[in-house]
Amino acid sequence: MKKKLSGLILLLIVLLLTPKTGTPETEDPLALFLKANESYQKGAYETARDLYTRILDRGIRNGSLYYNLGNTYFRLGRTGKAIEYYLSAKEWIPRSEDLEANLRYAREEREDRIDSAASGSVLREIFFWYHRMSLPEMVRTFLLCNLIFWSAAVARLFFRRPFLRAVLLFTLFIGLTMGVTAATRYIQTRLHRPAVIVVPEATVRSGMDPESTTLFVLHDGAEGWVDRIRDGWVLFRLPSGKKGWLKRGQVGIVVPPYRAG
Amino acid sequence: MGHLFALIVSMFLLYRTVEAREITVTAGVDRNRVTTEDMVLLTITVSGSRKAPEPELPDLPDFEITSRGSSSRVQIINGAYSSQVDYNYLLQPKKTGLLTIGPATIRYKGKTYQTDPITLRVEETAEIETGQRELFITTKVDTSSPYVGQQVVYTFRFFRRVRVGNASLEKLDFDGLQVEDLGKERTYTTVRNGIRYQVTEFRKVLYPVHAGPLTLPAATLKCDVPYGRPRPYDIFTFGTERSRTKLLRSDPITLQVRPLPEEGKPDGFSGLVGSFSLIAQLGKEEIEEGESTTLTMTVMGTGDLTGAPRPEIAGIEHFKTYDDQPTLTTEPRRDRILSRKVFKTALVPTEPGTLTIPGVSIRFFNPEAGQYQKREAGPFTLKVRPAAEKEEINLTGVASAPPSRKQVKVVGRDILPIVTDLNTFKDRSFSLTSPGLWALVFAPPLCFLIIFLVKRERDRRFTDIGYARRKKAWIEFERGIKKARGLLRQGDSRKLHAHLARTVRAYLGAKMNLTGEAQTPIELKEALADRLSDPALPEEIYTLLQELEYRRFAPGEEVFHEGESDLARVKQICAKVEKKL
Repeated sequence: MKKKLSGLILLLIVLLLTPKTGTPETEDPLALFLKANESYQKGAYETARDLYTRILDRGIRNGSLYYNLGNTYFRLGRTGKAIEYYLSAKEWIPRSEDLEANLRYAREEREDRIDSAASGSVLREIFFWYHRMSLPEMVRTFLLCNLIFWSAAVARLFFRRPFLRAVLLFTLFIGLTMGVTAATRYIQTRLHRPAVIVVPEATVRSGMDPESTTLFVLHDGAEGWVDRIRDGWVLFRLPSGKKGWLKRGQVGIVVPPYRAG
Repeated sequence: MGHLFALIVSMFLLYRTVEAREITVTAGVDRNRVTTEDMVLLTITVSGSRKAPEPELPDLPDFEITSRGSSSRVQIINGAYSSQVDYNYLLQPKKTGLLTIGPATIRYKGKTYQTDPITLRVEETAEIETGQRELFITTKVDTSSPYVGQQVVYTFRFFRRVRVGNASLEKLDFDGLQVEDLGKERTYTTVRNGIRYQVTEFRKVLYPVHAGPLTLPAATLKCDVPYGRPRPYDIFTFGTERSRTKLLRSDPITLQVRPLPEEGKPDGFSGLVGSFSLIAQLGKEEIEEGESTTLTMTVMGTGDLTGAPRPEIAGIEHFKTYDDQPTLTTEPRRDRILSRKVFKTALVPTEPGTLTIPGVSIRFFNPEAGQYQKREAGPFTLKVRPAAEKEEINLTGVASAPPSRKQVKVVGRDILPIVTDLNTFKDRSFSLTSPGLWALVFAPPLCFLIIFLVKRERDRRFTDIGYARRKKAWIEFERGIKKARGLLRQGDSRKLHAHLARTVRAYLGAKMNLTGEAQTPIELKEALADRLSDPALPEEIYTLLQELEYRRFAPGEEVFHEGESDLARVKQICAKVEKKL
């Protein structure tokens, strides 16, 4: 009995002292990022792509990662995938000039001439923050205004100062604007998710059947929205309003900046 | 109702009676001895009907007539009803002497009514010194024999030493003249022949267009001059002053416009009249072949420069010229209008070297000197470098010309580099189901609500004593019961019952915001009965308090043994009150 106990203790000590091998140092997201960047700089784009993808698999999401992945795919000649990741990056870093320039360039490289999905320029000017701010920024601004508004309301219970009224009105206006905008953006991205064709050629059909009528053919990089996903097929809609069914694998769906679950 | 009907009927009958009566027409003037400057107010009054037509005036060739409208009034004096309409006309005599205003006529219901003629004595404006008149106007020009195109300054002055109202000047019609305002209208005070006048003055500059005699029409100014005191009981004028309308006229002015002399007249003379100077300036004195320089020529002086031609650049060679649109500005300066016209011409040399731009000149007629004059500026020298010279200079480094700018030419395209900044590398997504997110949304309003309610409660307790007492009543009561238990343990029956009675009274007093302990059992019973719908509970309280009072003063072992049950009963009854009140 004593021998058995001594053996068990020894085993425990050995296990405790043995360094962990299940998570190698290279699996650290930051280390992966450095290594991926290095591979990219050296021109090893496929290696870089794999490393960036592994970071994504570890649950890390940010604008820089998607932007770099977009660049990597562009170097690999995958314009559609590049646009998909640039659009995903835009959900986090909408005001990045580098991103905007690369996205513009990638769009010029695609085969199909498809009008931009953007709304009217006048509306864009009036509701400028809708496109100039990311959803997380809107939510953070809303939360900050919410906190300041109610703090000012509490302060006003005890001190009736004019500046508190100004703070209340200002934060109410900004907070409501941000709240409504964020909600609109969220609903829009839930109902109509931006998507990109990521294969050289995709046949858009009238139904979820390879034998159904061919409606039109799209090429790598064509942008639109996914209105529905069902049984490995997606209902893809173009800015012109034309729509049809595509196989799920032919479409890259832009990643939203939030986790719903 | 019957009275009202009778009143309406009688009013109608009265109205019909009045309408059935004949009318009378009279005419009158406000005065019958006037001067040619005065205006006479003719009033034709039609009495007896408001429906009579407007009177027809007779021919009045000796007067200028202006209608001043009509006014009507109705009077009921001692039950007698009368209506009257006044038609007013202003008459301006055209000549002196005895003038007659003939009868005015009205045709009404088949009958013709006429006014009596009125005779007026019209005299020349008093032959007295102008300086002694109350108000008058003057007009004058600075020259009566100008040349065609010469500036003539016309001055209008309105002198007055009495108050006037509603002054209006008839529009001056200067036919055959080009007119410009010279400054703004001004009002000042002056002394003339020892009499102080207030003067309103304005000036205009006239440019005669044609030669020959030219008559400037008389200026006519109409104004109201008050006289006498206001009628104190005249409710229609509201106590305003009575006034007479005056019409003031100046004498017409005749100009003898002279043509421009033929002697010394240059060939192709532009017709520029006045006194002018010429300034010319070259923008750059040294340029490169192919570049341009600007020659700016400014003509300024007194006279009309509207149609002034561009100064001549005589004999210019080796240049291409491009004329710019001239700019003209005018400004009043003392008793003249100063004009300034700027001409710009771009000069582009056609060959390198030192080029000479000959002088520029203008010709005009100077009316003050009575002769044609010429003004000159220049010549100018311009050094033109050959276009190739620049490169040589640059090579030798002797001088540096500004580098030529080229548009950026795109020779290749590529995407911009990846992001390597490690500060940006962390997970930035957020979860919509995160408790922290929803806590940040709802916690602040919740905190506000709690603080708000607490503050409201505190404020109410602070300001509403009754409320504060009600809220504390039960706490105080429980404290009293606790003390009673101590007294029960001590076995002091008197003290126990006295304390219980006091506790109950204090509780009820606080609960109903009464002066608690001072209340008698019957008063508490009545107060409770007012507040409770259940009549049994006040009665129960009354009985309880009576018994406690009794036991307080009834010593004995038996009474003490009932202390326990009395305590329980007090608690039970007060709990009921707490629940219902």
